[in-house]
Amino acid sequence: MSTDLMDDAALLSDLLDEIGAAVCVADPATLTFSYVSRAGERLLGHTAAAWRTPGFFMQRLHPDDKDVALVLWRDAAQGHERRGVHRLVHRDGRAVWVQTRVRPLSPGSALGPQVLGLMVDVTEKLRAEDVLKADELRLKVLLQQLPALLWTVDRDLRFTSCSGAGLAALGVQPGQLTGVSIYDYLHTTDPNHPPIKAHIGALAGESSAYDVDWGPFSYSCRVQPLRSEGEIIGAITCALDVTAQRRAESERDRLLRKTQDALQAGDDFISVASHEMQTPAAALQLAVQALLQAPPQAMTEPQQRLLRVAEQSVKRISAFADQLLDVTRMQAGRLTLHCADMDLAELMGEVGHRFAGLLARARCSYQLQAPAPVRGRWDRLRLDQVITNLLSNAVKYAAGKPVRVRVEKSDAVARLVVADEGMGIEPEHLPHLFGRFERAVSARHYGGLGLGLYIVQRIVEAHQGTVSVDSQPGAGATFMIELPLGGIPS
Amino acid sequence: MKKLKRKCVVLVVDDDHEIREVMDVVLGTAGFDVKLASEGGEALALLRSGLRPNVIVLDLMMPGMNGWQFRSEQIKDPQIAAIPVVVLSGDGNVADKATRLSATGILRKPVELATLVDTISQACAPS
Repeated sequence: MSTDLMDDAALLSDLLDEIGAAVCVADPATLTFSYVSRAGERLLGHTAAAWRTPGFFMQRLHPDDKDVALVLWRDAAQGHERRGVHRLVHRDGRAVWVQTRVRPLSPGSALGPQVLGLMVDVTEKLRAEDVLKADELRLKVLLQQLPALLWTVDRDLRFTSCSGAGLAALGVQPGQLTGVSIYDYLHTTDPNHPPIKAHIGALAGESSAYDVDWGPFSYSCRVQPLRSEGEIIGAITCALDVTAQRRAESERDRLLRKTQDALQAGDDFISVASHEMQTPAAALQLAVQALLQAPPQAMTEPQQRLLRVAEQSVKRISAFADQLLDVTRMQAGRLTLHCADMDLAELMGEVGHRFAGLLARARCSYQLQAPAPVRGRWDRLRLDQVITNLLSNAVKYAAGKPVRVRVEKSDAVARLVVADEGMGIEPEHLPHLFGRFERAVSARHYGGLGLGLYIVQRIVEAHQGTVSVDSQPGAGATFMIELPLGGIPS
Repeated sequence: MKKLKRKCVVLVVDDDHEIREVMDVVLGTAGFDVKLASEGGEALALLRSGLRPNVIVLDLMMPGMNGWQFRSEQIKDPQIAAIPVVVLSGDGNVADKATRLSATGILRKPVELATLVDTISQACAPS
């Protein structure tokens, strides 16, 4: 070989080595290779010398693809150009998918009839295609299963695709809408019609959502621009069938209204009942009090005692009716305060004085510590109620032990503390103590409606104040109320 | 209970029979001259037929003519408009509701006998 020819051959070999595809030349009769480019070495992990070994290629053909591959090479030997995809076996044992193109070499070769082959590794490409196909299949299955619709429109707002299980419910066949204008489908050209507005917006790059009812079905639609290489080529809409959800919401609203109506009816009844109870209570109280004013000689001492029992009892009935009315009013948020300047210490003294008889009967000593006036702008009658409820509880549960009350000023708050040394409250009852109808003890042993502390808390909170309790079982309970001194901040 | 020197006439307007009965007795015992009506219309008829009480004790919620309607009619009639009214109601919100009635006194049922008598006495003889 002349020097020029050797140079040309070396140049050609270098060029072929640069090609990504394995270039090879083989004897079609024996499939023995006389040449393979460097890519061939990379393709199967064998040297070019190994490729040239007789029988090498037959060994590297994947057993399942042998027939497919051999047909290609034999047809090429017959003068045809052939293409096909099959597997070869890499040196490390894994299958390599190759796209093969074979054709006969120009006749007249010194080596006799030869076939030129180009083999490209398409393993990754096929794997990616498999993944894509699997994804498409999953999406298709998903769309068939989900109560949803997915459609696309082009820039003229004509449907380009429409799929999803929701189609059947709407009586639309797959493909039926393709090419149909959204204006024609909706029978309107109004640009403010929500679906049309949303699609026009998507063509301008805006995503939006709208709800729509189609017959008995409700859909929640989300429209987004459909882009290809950065350009908006149309819009894509995902419409979820929310019919069941809407029905559930509607049913929930209906039940909520029904419950609220029932609660309101109950509250109305309590309100009317409370009012109705006050009228006979008034007649009874006036009658009893008038009798009690009779001259002492007109009645025996037991008769007078019985009348006093009747008077106290009617007052208790009336107080219960008031409590029920208060609670319904507070529950409905209708507690209005009538605030005026007042002295909490003085009020405490007044209520304490009213409790003298009850404290004596319960054999509880009473100690009031209120060294100075504590003035603020509060609702006197309501705070009277708060103190009355706290003192009633203290006397009820003190079980003959001392009841101590303290009224003081501290920073910007007025503080009122009512403490007893009675049975105390179990820790598990503390968190619920201020709830409606809550009680820490059995109603059978201790009377009352369980509303006192609820009312206390509501009134204190209406004054923007706080109420807290500290108690240990067997060691009494201490209730503390703090009210802002400046009255209620507006 | 001290008796009044001069008999004040009190017109009690209440639909509840027991209330009318007990008011008749206790106010009568306290020295008042008690007249009774079971609803606003009946009270108006008594007033228009010439009755001139010193004070009217008025319930609010009544069948027929209620307390608000009665008060409205009373104020429209110059012959009886000036007669003071003490509202006596079982309504828990009576203080708020009666403010609009320009009542001389507002009492909530049940009322202490002493408070009732004091309020009516003051209304009878305003200072």
